[in-house]
Amino acid sequence: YLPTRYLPIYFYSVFFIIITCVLNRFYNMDEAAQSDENQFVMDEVSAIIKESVETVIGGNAYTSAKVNGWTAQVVESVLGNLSKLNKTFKYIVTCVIMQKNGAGLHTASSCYWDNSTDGSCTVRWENKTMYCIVSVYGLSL
Amino acid sequence: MSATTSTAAADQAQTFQIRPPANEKLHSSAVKEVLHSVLVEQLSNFVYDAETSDKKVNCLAEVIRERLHELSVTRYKFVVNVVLGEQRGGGIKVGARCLWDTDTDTAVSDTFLTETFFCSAAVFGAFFY
Repeated sequence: YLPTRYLPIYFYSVFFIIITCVLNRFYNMDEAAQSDENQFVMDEVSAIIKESVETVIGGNAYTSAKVNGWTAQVVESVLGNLSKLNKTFKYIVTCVIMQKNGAGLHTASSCYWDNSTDGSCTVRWENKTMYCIVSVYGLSL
Repeated sequence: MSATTSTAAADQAQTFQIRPPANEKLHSSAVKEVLHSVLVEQLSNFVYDAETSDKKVNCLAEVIRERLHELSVTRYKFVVNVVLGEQRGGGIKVGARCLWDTDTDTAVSDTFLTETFFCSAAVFGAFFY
Protein backbone atom coordinates (compact mmCIF):
# COMPACT_ATOMS: atom_id res chain seq x y z
CA TYR A 1 0.00 0.00 0.00
CA LEU A 2 1.70 3.19 -1.19
CA PRO A 3 0.14 6.64 -0.82
CA THR A 4 0.17 7.88 -4.40
CA ARG A 5 1.19 11.37 -3.31
CA TYR A 6 4.65 10.08 -2.35
CA LEU A 7 5.13 7.99 -5.48
CA PRO A 8 7.41 10.51 -7.28
CA ILE A 9 9.63 10.70 -4.18
CA TYR A 10 10.06 6.94 -4.17
CA PHE A 11 10.92 6.95 -7.85
CA TYR A 12 13.42 9.77 -7.42
CA SER A 13 15.09 8.06 -4.44
CA VAL A 14 15.36 4.73 -6.27
CA PHE A 15 16.79 6.53 -9.30
CA PHE A 16 19.30 8.35 -7.06
CA ILE A 17 20.44 5.10 -5.44
CA ILE A 18 20.92 3.41 -8.80
CA ILE A 19 22.93 6.33 -10.16
CA THR A 20 25.25 6.44 -7.12
CA CYS A 21 25.87 2.69 -7.35
CA VAL A 22 26.74 2.95 -11.02
CA LEU A 23 29.08 5.89 -10.39
CA ASN A 24 30.77 4.10 -7.50
CA ARG A 25 31.50 1.15 -9.72
CA PHE A 26 33.08 3.45 -12.28
CA TYR A 27 35.24 5.14 -9.65
CA ASN A 28 36.27 1.81 -8.21
CA MET A 29 37.29 0.60 -11.64
CA ASP A 30 39.70 3.53 -11.86
CA GLU A 31 41.12 2.72 -8.46
CA ALA A 32 41.56 -0.91 -9.42
CA ALA A 33 43.40 0.10 -12.57
CA GLN A 34 45.67 2.37 -10.54
CA SER A 35 46.45 -0.24 -7.92
CA ASP A 36 47.38 -2.73 -10.64
CA GLU A 37 50.13 -0.36 -11.69
CA ASN A 38 51.59 -0.61 -8.23
CA GLN A 39 51.40 -4.35 -7.78
CA PHE A 40 54.37 -6.62 -8.10
CA VAL A 41 53.58 -8.69 -11.21
CA MET A 42 55.61 -11.90 -11.11
CA ASP A 43 55.17 -12.87 -14.76
CA GLU A 44 56.42 -9.56 -16.06
CA VAL A 45 59.47 -9.60 -13.80
CA SER A 46 60.21 -13.25 -14.57
CA ALA A 47 60.19 -12.47 -18.30
CA ILE A 48 62.58 -9.56 -17.79
CA ILE A 49 65.00 -11.75 -15.84
CA LYS A 50 65.01 -14.56 -18.39
CA GLU A 51 65.63 -12.17 -21.24
CA SER A 52 68.50 -10.42 -19.44
CA VAL A 53 70.23 -13.68 -18.48
CA GLU A 54 69.92 -15.08 -22.00
CA THR A 55 71.36 -11.92 -23.51
CA VAL A 56 74.36 -11.67 -21.20
CA ILE A 57 75.48 -15.28 -20.65
CA GLY A 58 73.36 -17.15 -23.20
CA GLY A 59 75.83 -19.23 -25.14
CA ASN A 60 78.94 -18.85 -22.96
CA ALA A 61 80.90 -21.36 -20.94
CA TYR A 62 81.95 -20.61 -17.36
CA THR A 63 85.15 -18.50 -17.31
CA SER A 64 86.42 -17.32 -13.92
CA ALA A 65 87.89 -14.17 -15.44
CA LYS A 66 84.60 -13.10 -16.95
CA VAL A 67 82.16 -14.10 -14.22
CA ASN A 68 82.59 -10.82 -12.29
CA GLY A 69 81.57 -8.87 -15.35
CA TRP A 70 78.69 -11.23 -16.07
CA THR A 71 77.04 -10.90 -12.67
CA ALA A 72 77.37 -7.12 -12.89
CA GLN A 73 75.90 -7.03 -16.38
CA VAL A 74 72.98 -9.35 -15.59
CA VAL A 75 72.06 -7.41 -12.49
CA GLU A 76 72.37 -4.02 -14.15
CA SER A 77 70.36 -5.11 -17.16
CA VAL A 78 67.55 -6.49 -14.96
CA LEU A 79 67.52 -3.35 -12.84
CA GLY A 80 67.45 -1.11 -15.90
CA ASN A 81 64.48 -2.96 -17.36
CA LEU A 82 62.67 -2.93 -14.02
CA SER A 83 63.01 0.83 -13.66
CA LYS A 84 61.50 1.23 -17.15
CA LEU A 85 58.29 -0.28 -15.78
CA ASN A 86 57.81 3.05 -13.94
CA LYS A 87 56.28 1.55 -10.84
CA THR A 88 56.64 3.04 -7.36
CA PHE A 89 58.88 0.25 -6.09
CA LYS A 90 62.31 -0.10 -4.59
CA TYR A 91 64.09 -3.08 -6.16
CA ILE A 92 66.78 -5.42 -4.87
CA VAL A 93 68.31 -7.76 -7.46
CA THR A 94 70.74 -10.55 -6.53
CA CYS A 95 72.54 -12.89 -8.88
CA VAL A 96 74.49 -16.10 -8.16
CA ILE A 97 76.58 -17.68 -10.92
CA MET A 98 78.14 -21.03 -10.06
CA GLN A 99 80.28 -23.42 -12.03
CA LYS A 100 78.90 -26.93 -12.50
CA ASN A 101 81.18 -29.06 -10.46
CA GLY A 102 78.99 -31.58 -8.71
CA ALA A 103 78.92 -29.42 -5.61
CA GLY A 104 75.63 -28.73 -3.89
CA LEU A 105 74.13 -25.25 -3.47
CA HIS A 106 71.25 -24.03 -1.31
CA THR A 107 69.74 -20.56 -1.16
CA ALA A 108 67.08 -19.12 1.12
CA SER A 109 65.62 -15.73 1.77
CA SER A 110 63.50 -14.28 4.51
CA CYS A 111 61.70 -10.96 4.22
CA TYR A 112 59.99 -8.57 6.59
CA TRP A 113 57.56 -6.59 4.46
CA ASP A 114 53.94 -6.00 3.54
CA ASN A 115 52.53 -9.12 1.92
CA SER A 116 49.78 -7.34 0.04
CA THR A 117 52.00 -4.93 -1.90
CA ASP A 118 55.50 -6.44 -1.96
CA GLY A 119 56.78 -9.52 -3.72
CA SER A 120 59.74 -11.47 -4.99
CA CYS A 121 60.59 -13.51 -8.04
CA THR A 122 63.41 -16.02 -8.44
CA VAL A 123 64.55 -17.55 -11.73
CA ARG A 124 66.93 -20.51 -12.05
CA TRP A 125 68.78 -20.79 -15.33
CA GLU A 126 71.45 -23.25 -16.40
CA ASN A 127 73.56 -24.34 -19.31
CA LYS A 128 76.16 -27.08 -19.66
CA THR A 129 78.84 -25.39 -17.55
CA MET A 130 77.09 -23.16 -15.04
CA TYR A 131 74.03 -22.33 -12.97
CA CYS A 132 72.61 -18.83 -12.68
CA ILE A 133 70.05 -17.89 -10.01
CA VAL A 134 68.56 -14.38 -10.13
CA SER A 135 66.21 -13.04 -7.44
CA VAL A 136 64.26 -9.80 -7.60
CA TYR A 137 62.63 -8.34 -4.48
CA GLY A 138 60.18 -5.45 -4.95
CA LEU A 139 59.32 -3.24 -1.98
CA SER A 140 56.41 -0.88 -2.50
CA LEU A 141 56.72 2.74 -1.42
CA MET B 1 40.00 31.21 10.49
CA SER B 2 42.84 31.09 7.98
CA ALA B 3 45.45 31.42 10.76
CA THR B 4 44.12 28.42 12.66
CA THR B 5 43.91 26.22 9.54
CA SER B 6 47.49 27.07 8.54
CA THR B 7 48.88 26.14 11.99
CA ALA B 8 46.91 22.90 11.88
CA ALA B 9 48.47 22.13 8.51
CA ALA B 10 51.94 22.95 9.84
CA ASP B 11 51.43 20.62 12.82
CA GLN B 12 50.37 17.85 10.50
CA ALA B 13 53.40 18.42 8.27
CA GLN B 14 55.76 18.16 11.24
CA THR B 15 54.45 14.80 12.43
CA PHE B 16 55.04 12.90 9.17
CA GLN B 17 58.70 11.94 8.85
CA ILE B 18 60.00 11.22 5.37
CA ARG B 19 63.53 10.66 6.67
CA PRO B 20 64.39 8.57 9.72
CA PRO B 21 65.74 10.62 12.65
CA ALA B 22 69.37 9.89 13.55
CA ASN B 23 68.60 7.55 16.44
CA GLU B 24 66.19 5.46 14.34
CA LYS B 25 68.40 5.15 11.30
CA LEU B 26 69.63 1.72 10.29
CA HIS B 27 73.41 1.62 10.72
CA SER B 28 75.31 -0.85 8.59
CA SER B 29 77.78 -1.50 11.43
CA ALA B 30 75.02 -2.72 13.73
CA VAL B 31 73.60 -4.96 11.02
CA LYS B 32 77.06 -6.35 10.24
CA GLU B 33 77.53 -7.27 13.89
CA VAL B 34 74.21 -9.11 14.02
CA LEU B 35 74.90 -10.91 10.76
CA HIS B 36 78.39 -11.98 11.75
CA SER B 37 77.34 -13.22 15.19
CA VAL B 38 74.49 -15.29 13.77
CA LEU B 39 76.71 -16.89 11.13
CA VAL B 40 79.44 -17.77 13.61
CA GLU B 41 76.94 -19.09 16.18
CA GLN B 42 74.98 -21.25 13.75
CA LEU B 43 77.73 -22.52 11.48
CA SER B 44 80.71 -23.16 13.77
CA ASN B 45 79.78 -26.79 14.30
CA PHE B 46 78.06 -27.40 11.01
CA VAL B 47 79.16 -30.05 8.53
CA TYR B 48 77.76 -29.89 5.03
CA ASP B 49 75.20 -32.57 4.29
CA ALA B 50 72.85 -32.60 1.31
CA GLU B 51 69.68 -33.26 3.31
CA THR B 52 70.17 -31.05 6.34
CA SER B 53 71.59 -28.05 4.48
CA ASP B 54 68.18 -27.29 3.05
CA LYS B 55 66.65 -26.72 6.46
CA LYS B 56 69.78 -25.05 7.75
CA VAL B 57 69.63 -22.29 5.13
CA ASN B 58 65.97 -21.59 5.85
CA CYS B 59 66.68 -21.56 9.56
CA LEU B 60 69.59 -19.14 9.08
CA ALA B 61 67.50 -16.71 7.05
CA GLU B 62 64.77 -16.69 9.67
CA VAL B 63 67.11 -16.31 12.62
CA ILE B 64 68.84 -13.35 10.97
CA ARG B 65 65.50 -11.73 10.22
CA GLU B 66 64.33 -12.17 13.81
CA ARG B 67 67.54 -10.76 15.25
CA LEU B 68 67.15 -7.70 13.05
CA HIS B 69 63.94 -6.87 14.92
CA GLU B 70 65.98 -6.50 18.10
CA LEU B 71 67.78 -3.55 16.56
CA SER B 72 64.61 -1.56 17.35
CA VAL B 73 64.45 0.37 14.13
CA THR B 74 60.89 1.07 13.14
CA ARG B 75 59.68 1.73 9.60
CA TYR B 76 62.25 -0.46 7.89
CA LYS B 77 61.55 -3.40 5.58
CA PHE B 78 64.16 -6.17 5.50
CA VAL B 79 65.21 -8.70 2.91
CA VAL B 80 67.67 -11.43 3.97
CA ASN B 81 69.37 -13.62 1.36
CA VAL B 82 71.51 -16.64 2.32
CA VAL B 83 73.58 -18.84 -0.02
CA LEU B 84 75.16 -22.06 1.32
CA GLY B 85 77.26 -24.34 -0.86
CA GLU B 86 79.84 -27.09 -0.82
CA GLN B 87 83.47 -26.29 -1.51
CA ARG B 88 84.70 -28.57 -4.25
CA GLY B 89 87.01 -26.26 -6.08
CA GLY B 90 84.29 -24.81 -8.30
CA GLY B 91 83.97 -21.09 -8.78
CA ILE B 92 81.04 -18.99 -7.63
CA LYS B 93 80.14 -15.31 -7.76
CA VAL B 94 77.32 -13.64 -5.81
CA GLY B 95 76.35 -10.08 -6.71
CA ALA B 96 73.54 -7.64 -6.02
CA ARG B 97 72.33 -4.21 -7.12
CA CYS B 98 69.58 -2.11 -5.61
CA LEU B 99 67.38 0.68 -6.87
CA TRP B 100 66.56 2.70 -3.76
CA ASP B 101 67.26 5.79 -1.70
CA THR B 102 70.90 5.76 -0.62
CA ASP B 103 70.31 8.25 2.20
CA THR B 104 68.04 5.92 4.12
CA ASP B 105 68.63 2.37 2.84
CA THR B 106 71.55 0.06 3.39
CA ALA B 107 72.96 -3.31 2.29
CA VAL B 108 75.33 -5.49 4.33
CA SER B 109 76.87 -8.82 3.42
CA ASP B 110 79.12 -11.33 5.16
CA THR B 111 80.76 -14.65 4.27
CA PHE B 112 81.62 -17.67 6.41
CA LEU B 113 84.26 -20.02 4.97
CA THR B 114 85.37 -23.45 6.10
CA GLU B 115 87.20 -26.23 4.31
CA THR B 116 84.07 -28.07 3.29
CA PHE B 117 81.50 -25.36 2.72
CA PHE B 118 80.93 -21.65 2.38
CA CYS B 119 78.02 -19.44 3.38
CA SER B 120 77.29 -15.96 2.07
CA ALA B 121 74.53 -13.89 3.65
CA ALA B 122 73.24 -10.46 2.65
CA VAL B 123 70.81 -8.16 4.45
CA PHE B 124 69.02 -5.32 2.64
CA GLY B 125 67.13 -2.73 4.67
CA ALA B 126 64.77 -0.26 2.98
CA PHE B 127 63.01 2.63 4.71
CA PHE B 128 59.25 2.62 4.44
CA TYR B 129 57.97 6.16 3.85
